[in-house]
Amino acid sequence: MRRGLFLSIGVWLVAMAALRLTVAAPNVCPPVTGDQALMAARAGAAWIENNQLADGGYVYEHNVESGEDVPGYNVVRHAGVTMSLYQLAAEGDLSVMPAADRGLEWMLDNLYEHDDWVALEDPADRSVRLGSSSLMLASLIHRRLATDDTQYDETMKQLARGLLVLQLEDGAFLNRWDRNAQQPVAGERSLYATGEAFWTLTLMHRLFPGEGWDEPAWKTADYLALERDDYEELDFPPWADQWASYGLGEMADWGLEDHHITYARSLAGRFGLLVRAESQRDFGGWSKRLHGPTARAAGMGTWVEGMQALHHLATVDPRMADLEDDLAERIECAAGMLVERQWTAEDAAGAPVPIRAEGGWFDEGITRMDDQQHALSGLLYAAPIIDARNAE
Amino acid sequence: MSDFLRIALIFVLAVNPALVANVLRDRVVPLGQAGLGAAIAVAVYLLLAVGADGILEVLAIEPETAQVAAGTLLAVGGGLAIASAGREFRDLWSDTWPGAFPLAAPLLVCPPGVVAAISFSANESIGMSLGAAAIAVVVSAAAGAVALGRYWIAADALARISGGVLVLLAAGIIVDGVKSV
Repeated sequence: MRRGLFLSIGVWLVAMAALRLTVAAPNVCPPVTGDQALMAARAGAAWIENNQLADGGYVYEHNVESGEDVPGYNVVRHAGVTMSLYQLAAEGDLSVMPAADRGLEWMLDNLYEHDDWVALEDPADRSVRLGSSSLMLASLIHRRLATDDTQYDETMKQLARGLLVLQLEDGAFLNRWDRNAQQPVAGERSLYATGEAFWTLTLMHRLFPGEGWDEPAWKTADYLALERDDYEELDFPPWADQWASYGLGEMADWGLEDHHITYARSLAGRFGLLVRAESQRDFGGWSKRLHGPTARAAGMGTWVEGMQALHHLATVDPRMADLEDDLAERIECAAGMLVERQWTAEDAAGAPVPIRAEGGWFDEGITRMDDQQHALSGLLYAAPIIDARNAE
Repeated sequence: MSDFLRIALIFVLAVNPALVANVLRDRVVPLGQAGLGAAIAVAVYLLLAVGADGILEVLAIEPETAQVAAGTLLAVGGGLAIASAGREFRDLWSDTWPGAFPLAAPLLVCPPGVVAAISFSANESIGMSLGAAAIAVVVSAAAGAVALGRYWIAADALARISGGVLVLLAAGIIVDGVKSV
């Protein structure tokens, strides 16, 4: 019988030790202020500016250990990086406008025109994809918000019409336009791009109310909330979609229905889980074995982007209000980790090419331009939330 | 089911009155001693409830993380109840203070009860957690003061069934923790 008692105690001790090493490991959130978050966002923007190429493109990927740029390019990420600069400009830092406008010129030089709509095509293979046009449109919208310059309003509407060419009856979007067949490629949807298109349509409604951009946005909101995760056969829904979160945040005062709020709450939970899990990781070998590798900045940045949009929704919609403080806490935690992991000038001094290192985020020695994009966007919007939290 | 009823049910299953009765089936804890045991256990749960935030701070874990861990430990407790129905505790006895040992500890204040008290206090409310703990403690202490006689078989079976239900509810707690912000 005593053996049974010791066995029972042993089971409890093993269970508690195993939990402490795994799911109950300490959540470490480095302290951060709003100013520090904003400075880190600006340093990320400086990395983008400093590593812009003569043609308006950006260094795509860099290995900080070898000092070599990794070949390759991605037009969707080009549009996203440019958009992040315009987001910073729209929040008041117009110093990034020249670099952002050079990035925009690159996109304007690669426009595909058809009937009354345009799209951004990939100069490498001339493909016309939903994601690149969506983020180009998001760039132009934020440029408009930053400058009140109306010169691209018609381009914005043409791009938005191009998105709608790819929209399906259920609100989903097809991923590509077949320029040879002159029609969308049937049956191919994108996990990422539907959310991107959705968000930009909600922004179009903000800029051009009364033109009907809200109608297709509503359809896609329903698709995202009710069908997308099933359609994509996700094993562990919801898909952590920061673009959908941006869109729902933009729709905060549109009168969202309960199923949209249910979806928004599930997104908040998913981002929260990702941040909590990340805060249990470090760069040590044991942590990697027990908790998996640390997330790259492109991933963490999207979590903050998603959460800040949902935080805005929580401040507006009483059905989300109970999540406001928790979201702010997770945003601060993720921002603290991002700030701590950014390469400072001091860190960069020892790199083979310091200008490729300073202000960047590196994962296993590699940074990709969207690491800076998403971290910049996330930190930019996190700063006021952190300030408000610290002021309480 | 209201939040309080759900928490109270989980607490009762965690402390497991049938398991307490089954452990003490050959003996009877006098009523005065049972009252003493209950008072000690409630006092311990009060301390855990009030100190839950501090405990999590020392452990450096978020309440939602603690919820997932608590669900896991409750499942372990349920699993042990299914496997043994408290058999490993049946030799434990004190002739002088049976209310304190083994009734208060390790039966009324048990690992599943401790994690439930900490997690519910941190994630729900101290009042609800303490109220639920008090119900579980009083019912279980009363079970320890009952002479089972030949009905110990029913207590044994009910203890194991309670463990099974606890495992199911613990899975729900884990899922809630995972879905929390």
